[in-house]
Amino acid sequence: MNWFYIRFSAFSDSISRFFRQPITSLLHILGMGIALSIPMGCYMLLDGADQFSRKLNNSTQLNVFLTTEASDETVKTAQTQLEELFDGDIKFIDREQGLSELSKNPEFSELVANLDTNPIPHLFVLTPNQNDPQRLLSIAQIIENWTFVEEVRFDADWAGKLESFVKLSKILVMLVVLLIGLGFVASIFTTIQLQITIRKDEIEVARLVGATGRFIRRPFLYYGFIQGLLGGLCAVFIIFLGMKYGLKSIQPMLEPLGIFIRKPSLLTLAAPLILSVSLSLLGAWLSSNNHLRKIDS
Amino acid sequence: MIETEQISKRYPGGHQALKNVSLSIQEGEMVFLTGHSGAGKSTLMKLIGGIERATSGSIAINGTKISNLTRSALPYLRRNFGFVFQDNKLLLDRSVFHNVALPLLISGFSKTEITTRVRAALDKVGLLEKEGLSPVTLSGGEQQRLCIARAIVNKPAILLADEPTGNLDPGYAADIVAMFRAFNRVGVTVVIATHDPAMIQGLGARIISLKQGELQE
Repeated sequence: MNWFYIRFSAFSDSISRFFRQPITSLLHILGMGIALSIPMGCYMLLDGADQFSRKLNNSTQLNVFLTTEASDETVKTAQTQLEELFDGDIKFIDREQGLSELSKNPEFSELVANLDTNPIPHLFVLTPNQNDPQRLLSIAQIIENWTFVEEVRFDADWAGKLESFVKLSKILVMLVVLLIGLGFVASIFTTIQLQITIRKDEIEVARLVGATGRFIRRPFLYYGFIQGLLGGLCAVFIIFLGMKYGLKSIQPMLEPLGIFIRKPSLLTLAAPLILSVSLSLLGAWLSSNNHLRKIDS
Repeated sequence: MIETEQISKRYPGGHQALKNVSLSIQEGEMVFLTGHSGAGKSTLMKLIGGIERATSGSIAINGTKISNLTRSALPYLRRNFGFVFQDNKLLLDRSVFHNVALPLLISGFSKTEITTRVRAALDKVGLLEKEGLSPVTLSGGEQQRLCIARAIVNKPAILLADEPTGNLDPGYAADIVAMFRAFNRVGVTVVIATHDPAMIQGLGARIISLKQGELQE
């Protein structure tokens, strides 16, 4: 009971001090919330792009273009050799079919009509049964060396590049989170220093009448905890608002690209809260400990 | 109860506040530490109370050497003392009640016990009716009595008072000295640092004089 009373007194005192300067506290919380919600929002956007790039990688295809002078005999040879080499779906698009598909496009129809000869080569589209980019790359290298093959195009190239870009961006976002985290600790450190300065006399008297370091540190840790909790809740609220209203306007633009931002999971929403509380407690602990060490030396 | 052996204190910057001071104060004794300003009275009080550490020598309280105590053990030693200061060191943003309650809250007393003890201490110093007021509204004498209430609320074995009447007029000062005398009669060891000869007269207490950091025979 005494244990609870001592902590409750310190906690209620910290709360009352927090709300004694409502505007300063509110601005501080808002600053913390915005600082945390930006990288979290970016991370969610990148997560959507990551899903997209993975999907692209899963639907990797090889496009094998034969030389323009390739005869029907050559096509048959190519078909046989590909069936021996490749495990998956092999689709043949002959040059006439290719040209007629091109002429359906209004942009090229006039151009196609004016052509004397058909410049479109025969094409084999290879879709693997199992997605193994390394295996596919080695097959592409073998096919490229065949004399009747003009070019092999590996569609996953740009998808792989996109995936690398997303990965890199995620690392950058993590670095931003790390920097913001350091800023967080520094900000709480300063806030607690200010609180310590305000309560200097109280600390001095408490020490004289036998307060332990833990007793002196406690209200400052509670103060940091309250600030971190409210800052984290503010970040969650901003993310929630962004998902509810901001996403409505962004999603139609992202959909044609195949990017779908998922609704945040409970863990995603809890992350800024946990981060904010932990970093605030760390800042408060460092600050109060620093002061205690100074006055005890 | 209090034993100091060849204690010296030199502050950073070279000021020698105390030089080889050895003294012994028995349990239940009332002692006056006298000397001019800068004689080392306050420093000696701080060293006895474990607020500062001696540069050399040793201090023992009830046989426990302060220099042997770790930093985390010092607060528990300080709970054996009641401190009274010339400048009161009251918390002006807390009520009279909560100023006195602080040592009990630190020591982990229950809310009921805190209320009982605080009221008893305030009653002893004649401030019971003012428990809800802010210390700012009290007179100088009342503030000093409030400081005494805070010092005795924990029922300490030793009361250390540093110039407790320094800012008071003679009437209030006599009241405060009478209070210390009363605490001493019930067994509390009282050590009072003062440079005021009028305070000491007629009390029959032991006087220890300091001059430029050294004990005067």
